[in-house]
Amino acid sequence: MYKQLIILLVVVFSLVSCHQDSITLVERDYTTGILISGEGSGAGTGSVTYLSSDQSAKHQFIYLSANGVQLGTFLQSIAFSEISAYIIVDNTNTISVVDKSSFIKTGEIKEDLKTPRFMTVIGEKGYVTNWGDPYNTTDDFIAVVDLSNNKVEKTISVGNGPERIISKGNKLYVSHKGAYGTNNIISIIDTLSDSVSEIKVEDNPDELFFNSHDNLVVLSEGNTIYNPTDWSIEGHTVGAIQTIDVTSNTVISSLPFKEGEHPSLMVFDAGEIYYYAEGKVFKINENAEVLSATVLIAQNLYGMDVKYGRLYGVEPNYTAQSSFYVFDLETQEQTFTTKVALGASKIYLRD
Amino acid sequence: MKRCRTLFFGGLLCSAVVFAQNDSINRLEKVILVADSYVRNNVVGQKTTLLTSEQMVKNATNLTEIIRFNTPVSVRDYGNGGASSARFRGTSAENTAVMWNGININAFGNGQTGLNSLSLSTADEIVVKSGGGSVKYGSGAIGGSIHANDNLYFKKHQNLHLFGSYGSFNTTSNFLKTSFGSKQWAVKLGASVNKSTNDYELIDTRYKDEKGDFLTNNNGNYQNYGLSLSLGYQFSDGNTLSFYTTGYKGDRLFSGNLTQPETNDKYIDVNQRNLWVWKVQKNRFSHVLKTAYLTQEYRYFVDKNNFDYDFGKSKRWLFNYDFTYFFNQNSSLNTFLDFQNIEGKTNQISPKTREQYAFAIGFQSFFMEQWEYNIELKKEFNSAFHVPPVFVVGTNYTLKDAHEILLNISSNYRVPTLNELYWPNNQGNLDLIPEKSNQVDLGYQYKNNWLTLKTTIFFMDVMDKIIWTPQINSTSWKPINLEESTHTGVEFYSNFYYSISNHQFIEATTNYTYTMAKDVDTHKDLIFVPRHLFNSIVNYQNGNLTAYVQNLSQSKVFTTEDNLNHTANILQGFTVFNLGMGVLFFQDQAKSLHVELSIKNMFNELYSFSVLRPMPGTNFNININYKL
Repeated sequence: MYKQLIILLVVVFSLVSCHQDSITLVERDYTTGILISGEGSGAGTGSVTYLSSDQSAKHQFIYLSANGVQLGTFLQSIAFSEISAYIIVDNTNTISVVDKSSFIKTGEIKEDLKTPRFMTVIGEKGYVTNWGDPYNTTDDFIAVVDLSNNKVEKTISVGNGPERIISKGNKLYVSHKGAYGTNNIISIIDTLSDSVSEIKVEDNPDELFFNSHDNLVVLSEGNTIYNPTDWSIEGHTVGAIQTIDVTSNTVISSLPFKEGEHPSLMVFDAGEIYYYAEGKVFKINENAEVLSATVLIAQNLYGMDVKYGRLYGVEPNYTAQSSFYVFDLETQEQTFTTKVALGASKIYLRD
Repeated sequence: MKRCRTLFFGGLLCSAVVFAQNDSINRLEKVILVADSYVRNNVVGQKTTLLTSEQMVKNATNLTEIIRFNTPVSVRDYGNGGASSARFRGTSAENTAVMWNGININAFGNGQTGLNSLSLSTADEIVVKSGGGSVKYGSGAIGGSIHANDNLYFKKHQNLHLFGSYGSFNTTSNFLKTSFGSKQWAVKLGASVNKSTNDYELIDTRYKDEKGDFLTNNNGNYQNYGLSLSLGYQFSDGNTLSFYTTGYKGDRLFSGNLTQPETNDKYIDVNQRNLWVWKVQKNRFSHVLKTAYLTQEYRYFVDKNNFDYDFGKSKRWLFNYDFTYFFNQNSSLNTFLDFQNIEGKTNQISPKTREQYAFAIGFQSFFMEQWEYNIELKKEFNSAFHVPPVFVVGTNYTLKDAHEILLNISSNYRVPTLNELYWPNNQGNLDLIPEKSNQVDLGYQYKNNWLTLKTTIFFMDVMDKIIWTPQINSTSWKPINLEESTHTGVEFYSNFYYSISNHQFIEATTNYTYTMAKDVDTHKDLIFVPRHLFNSIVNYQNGNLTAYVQNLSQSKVFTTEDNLNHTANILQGFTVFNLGMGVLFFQDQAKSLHVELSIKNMFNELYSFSVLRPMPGTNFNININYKL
C-alpha cells in the first residue's frame, strides 16, 4: 500500500517542486563601456554589471552569465592587463582571471594570497596588496604574481594594511589604510631590488595617483578615535590631500580637511582633483593651495570616476540592487541613473 | 485510549486526545506537573501544534530539522548545523520566542535562539504556538513561540528511553531519558550527545574542484552535549515544589559556501539554566512562585587554530509570581508580577544591566458551555526604554462537538537587544524603541476520531522594525526603527488516522502555510520568506513493520529587498523526501524496541536555505529507539 502512496506523493509534490535552473552561457564583448563591481553581501555574492558607453545597454552578473558560476563575497576590486581582467575577492583569498573582453574565466590565482585587496600590473607581473590576517598588524605583504602561470612567485613584506597600489616605472606606490586598524604610510617598492621605503602621511591613506607634474597625490581619510568602553567618539585625526615629490620622497603640499570631516574618494581627470567627503563631491585644481568650499554635487557615493566631463558614481545597497548615477559636470545635473550590482563599490571606465 | 498502547505510531493522535482533555483544567495536572502549563491549557483562540517524542526522533539530527519537517515554521540556516533561526509567518528570528519550561531563553545579545545551539531531544513535548498573543512570554513573541517542556509525573513509575542513531558523514544523535517517581517524588534525567563530521558533498554540479569532483562541506564538524535534571516534590495534593536544571555545550565549526569552501571559523556555546517552581493550588486559589537563573555564553573564533576569540556573555535572574482565583468551574482571574535582571557583555561591549518589571492581569471564562473567552493585559517597565502596554482577547466557540471557531486579537512587542543598543564603534543606537505589532487570528478546527483539521487566517502589522542600515558616507551600520511590514496568510494543519485492520494503520500529518509578507513602503516581499511552505509525514504500520515518508516543500524566496528575480539572488523552490522503514521487535504497554533505517533526501534534491549553501544530498541513517 505504501508504495502506491509514495508514488502518489511523488506525483503530487513534483508538481509543486521547482528545479535548479541552469544558466545559459552568454558570450558578449565587454571591451568598451563601463564595468561596475559590487562587493556582494549575505543576499548574494559579488558581481559585475556592464553598461555600454552610452548606457543604452546593461548586463548584470556578467561573470555568472559568462561562466555559469558565481564569484565569492566580497568582491574587492578588479585589475586589468593587456588581455585579462583580474577579479579580486578578498574573503575567498582568490583572484579570478578572465578574458578582458568576454569575461570568460581563463585561470585563477589561489595560492599564497591572504585577504587580497588591490592589484597592479607591470609587464608580466602582477602586484597584489594583502592584509594577511586583518587583525594582525605584522603579516601584511605584496604578492608578486607571475601572470604567465598565475602563481605567486614571491612576497614582499610591508607595513600594516596595504590598500591601493599603483606603479610608475619600476616602482610601486602603496597606500596603507591600516586594515581593521589604522596606519599612516605610503610604501615605495623598487621592483628590481624589492627594497621598501616609507613616507609618512596623514592617517588612513587610500586613493592615490600621479598628477600632471608626476607628483604623487594621496588622499588620507583621517581616523576616528573611539572610547573603548562606551564607543563614544573621543576625537578625530585630520584627513588631507597631500602631494609628494617622488624624487626626494617628501610631502610638498598638504591640504587638511576640517576636524571630523572624513573624505573617502578621490579621482583625477585633466588636471583636476575630484574628491568626496560626507555626502558631497568637490573639485580643485591639482595646483590648488586650499580645499574647495563649493559643493559640486551632493550625493551619497561609495565609488566614483570622472571622464569626458561626466562624473560616474555608485551608491551601494547591500540588501537590494545599488544605484548608479551619471552627472554632467558642466550643469552639475544628474543625467542618468540605473540599478546595478549588490553592494556596488568600484567603477571601471573602459575606452 | 486502548489503541494508544497497542499501536506504536498512534502517538500523535493519542496525544491530541490527551491534549484536548487537558482543557478541563487541573484534573490531570495533579499527576502531571508541566512548568509551562499555560501553553497547554490556557491558549484561547489560537492554534497550537504539539510535537511528541515520537515525532521528534524522526528528525533527531537537530532542532532545526524537527521544526522544519513538523511545524508551520520556516527555518533559515547557514548550512547544515550552522547558525539557524525560526521565523513564523514571515517575521524575523527576533520575533520568535523560544521557551524552556515557560522561561523565554532568547539571547540578550541578539534577541534570537539558535536552533542548532540547544538540544531539546530530551524534552517530553514541544508545543509550537503560531502567532503572538500571550502576555506570558514577554518580548519577542510577535510571530509565535516554541515551547519545550519537561514533565514530572507524581505517580509510581519508572521509565527509561534510549535513542541512538548513526549515519552518513559520521552523524550520530543520541539521548537517554529516564524518569521515576512516587506520589511524593518525581525525578527526570536527560542526557544527549550529538556529533557529526558533517563533511557532505555539496551536490551542485556547477561548482566542482579542479579534478571535477564535488566540493565538500569541509569545515562543518559539530559536537554538542546536554544534561538535564528535573526534580519534583509533592507536599500534598496541589502543593508541589519543583526544580529544573540543564546545561549545554556546543562546539561547532562554521562551514563555507560554494564560492568559498575553505573556512576556519569556530563557535562554542555554553548555556546553563535553573528554574525553581513552587505551585500551590487550594480551594479557589492557585499560586505559582518561580525563580530562575540563566547564563549564556558564546565564543567565536575567526581561526579555529588560533586562541583568539570574540565572546558574548549574559546572566539573567527572574522572579515571577502568578496568582489565579477561580470564581467557579468556568471563570478565573489571573494576575502575575514579573521581575527580571539581565546583565550582558561582549569583548567589545562593557557590562550592561537591564531591569524590567511587568504586571499582567487576565480573565478567562465560559459564556455558555461552548463559548470560552479570555482577556489579558500587560504592562512592562524597562530600565532602558518605554514599553507599550499589550493586550490579548481570545475566544473559542464550539459549534457542535467537533467544530470550533477561534478568534484571537492581540498586540505584541520586541525590545531592542544588547547588540542593537551598544554595538561597538558608535554603531549601537540608544534611541531605539521596541518593535510593535498588532495581530488578528481567525481559526476553524474540526476533530473527530480519525481526522483533525486546524485552519487559521492571520493578519499582522509589525511596526518600528529594527533594521541595520548603512550610514551615510561610512562603512558602518546602525540599527534604526525603520520599517513596517504586513503579514497575511493561512496556516493549515491536518491529521488523518485510519486503522486498516487490527494490526495495520496509516496516519498522515500535514502542515501548509501560505504567507504574504510585504514591506509597507516598497510593497515588495520580505526576503527569505517562502510564499508556500508545506510539510507532511505519512506513517504506516503493519504488525511489526513500520514505514514513513516525510516531505518538505518550500517555494522560491527572494534574497534581495527589491525582489530581483535572478538566479543569483533567489533560492529556488524545492521538495525533499525522507523515507524510513523499521522493525518493531517488541511492544508491550509503554515498552518497545524499534530499529529503523532512514534515507534522507531520497531523490538527491539540490536545496538550500541560504545563498550558495546546499544541504546534504541523499544520506542514510539507522536508529534504535528503546523504551523500558
